[in-house]
Amino acid sequence: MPAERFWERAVALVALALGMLALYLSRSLPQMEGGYPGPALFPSILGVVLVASGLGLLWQERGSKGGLEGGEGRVLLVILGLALAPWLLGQIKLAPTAGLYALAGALLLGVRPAGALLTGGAVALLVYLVFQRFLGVQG
Amino acid sequence: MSFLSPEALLALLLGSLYGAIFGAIPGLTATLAISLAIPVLLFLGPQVALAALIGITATAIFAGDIGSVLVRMPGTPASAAYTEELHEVAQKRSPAFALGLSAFPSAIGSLIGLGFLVVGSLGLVALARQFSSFEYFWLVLLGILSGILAVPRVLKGAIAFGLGMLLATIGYDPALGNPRFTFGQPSLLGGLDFIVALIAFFGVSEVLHHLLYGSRQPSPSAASLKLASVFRDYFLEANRFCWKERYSLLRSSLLGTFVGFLPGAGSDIAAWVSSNLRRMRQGRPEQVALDGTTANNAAVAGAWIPAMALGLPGDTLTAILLGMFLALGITPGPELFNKHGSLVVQIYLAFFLVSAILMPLGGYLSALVVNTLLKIPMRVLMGAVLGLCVVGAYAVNNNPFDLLLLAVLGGLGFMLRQGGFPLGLVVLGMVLGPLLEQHFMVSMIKTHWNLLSFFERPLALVLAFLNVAMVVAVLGLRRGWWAWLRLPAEERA
Repeated sequence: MPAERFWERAVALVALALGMLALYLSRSLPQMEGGYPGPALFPSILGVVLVASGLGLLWQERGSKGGLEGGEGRVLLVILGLALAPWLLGQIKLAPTAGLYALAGALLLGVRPAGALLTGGAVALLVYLVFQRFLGVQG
Repeated sequence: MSFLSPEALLALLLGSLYGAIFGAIPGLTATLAISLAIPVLLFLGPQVALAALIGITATAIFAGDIGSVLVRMPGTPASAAYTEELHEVAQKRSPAFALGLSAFPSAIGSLIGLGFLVVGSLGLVALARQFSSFEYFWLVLLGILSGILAVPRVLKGAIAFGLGMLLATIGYDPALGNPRFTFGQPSLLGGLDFIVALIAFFGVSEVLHHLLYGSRQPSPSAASLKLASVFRDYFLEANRFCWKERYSLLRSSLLGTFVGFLPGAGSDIAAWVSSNLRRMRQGRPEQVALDGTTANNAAVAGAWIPAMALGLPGDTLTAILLGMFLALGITPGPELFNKHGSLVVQIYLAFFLVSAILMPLGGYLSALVVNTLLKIPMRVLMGAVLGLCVVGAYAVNNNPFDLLLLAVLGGLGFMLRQGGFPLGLVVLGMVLGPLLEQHFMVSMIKTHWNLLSFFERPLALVLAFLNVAMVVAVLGLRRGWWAWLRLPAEERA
């Protein structure tokens, strides 16, 4: 499965990067009295584990072929779209925001516009009734 | 409020129906069901929330069989072990009989598992009352190691766990209270919200997966679920068969409870082991399905034994539940039994009600509902899930910053899922990681960093030995796997 190989390597690289970042940032954390390791101990251990495991996985996967499925653009679009949610929430409030994401998600998943609109409307109504009216969630 | 209050009973009933629907529809999972439900449950208080959660978890595994009966697709991985056989029974006899064959053995397996849950958790708690931070450290380490070693590739397990635990280090450290990795962001001082992470890992990543690969749409069963056949096939015939197979029921229940009890095993493995044992003995499809479904439901209760008594999750579902316990301000383990004794009794009672009443009586009703819901395209359901993920992540803290975390963690969850990394271990890292650090640091501060103190108490020594023994045993077993994997494909076949 070339796509799985690709994502394995991508995660291994993420683990490597996060491990190194954890090791770097741990250096600025304070020590305990008497020079004993304090809050930095476990992040440092995790940093070492992630760097070693990331490298190990990359080593195991060397030579294997990996590629994308072709459709990852839509995935990226949804992730970037989710990052806009805090701003959107401030503009159009909670229930319409949830409805909008349901609508956009349905459209991207291949639902016809009328069906997507219905999905978005149903979710917005559900959110308004259950979360805002019944549970009192603000927004 | 108690578990017998109308609110809690209603939560139990609705939770069971909700769990049954999510468990039955292929593509919707029990973990997704809980991830979407938790933001609502958090507002309802511990008793109501726990009642609903027990309803969801106890029925979701059983309901996986409904998908097998109706559309020949297992609703949960735990039903995959005997889907072919159960569907064959539905075709040859009737869907009502196949549903009865699933519901009653599931209920019996769950009840026998519950018996062991009561006895086992009380026994383990009595032992755990003698534990100090040293013993807890070894115990938590045992849970972590068994989780990592249970996955086919240890490196993937280590990365998944490491990422989960690293995420849990964000915020104040558990021993001294220093802020870590907050980048000056006040919203991160309290740490990443476990529930937001859960929604991202199991909700958003599921939608993204469907976006990339499309959805295999199960079509509603052509076989009719006639109400007229319910009494004869679902109740009489299925129960007659269960009585004939009573020793198998008992055997599969014991096996399922034991496998569920083992850390890192869970319902899937229980079902495979039990149904394969029956296949090896040339069992008929009815018998294979009965053994499998009994074992996977018994395993649910089995997994709760170490979770309740020691705070050690046996599988992903119980890891999520432990996180939920903590979010509700309840610490599993002896503290749960000491401080919330009535809650423990109520948990047992809720399990009993679900197993003895809701599972057998609601099984057929759930199938009717699911057969109707299967007409809704999966694409529409996934669109709705995306909208609910957004509102769920926001509702937990009313904090828009959590929506940014949802995007980042959703992307990470998607990458992990596509790469075949076990998401359950990320959850395990987030739940057990902070406990490991806390028990280690407390032990070290108590003894002025004398590492030998971890081996000075007899119980700690036994648990340390168990850790070593488990690592040696599992690695020994895996060497056989490695040798087999390294064989050329022709020789393997």
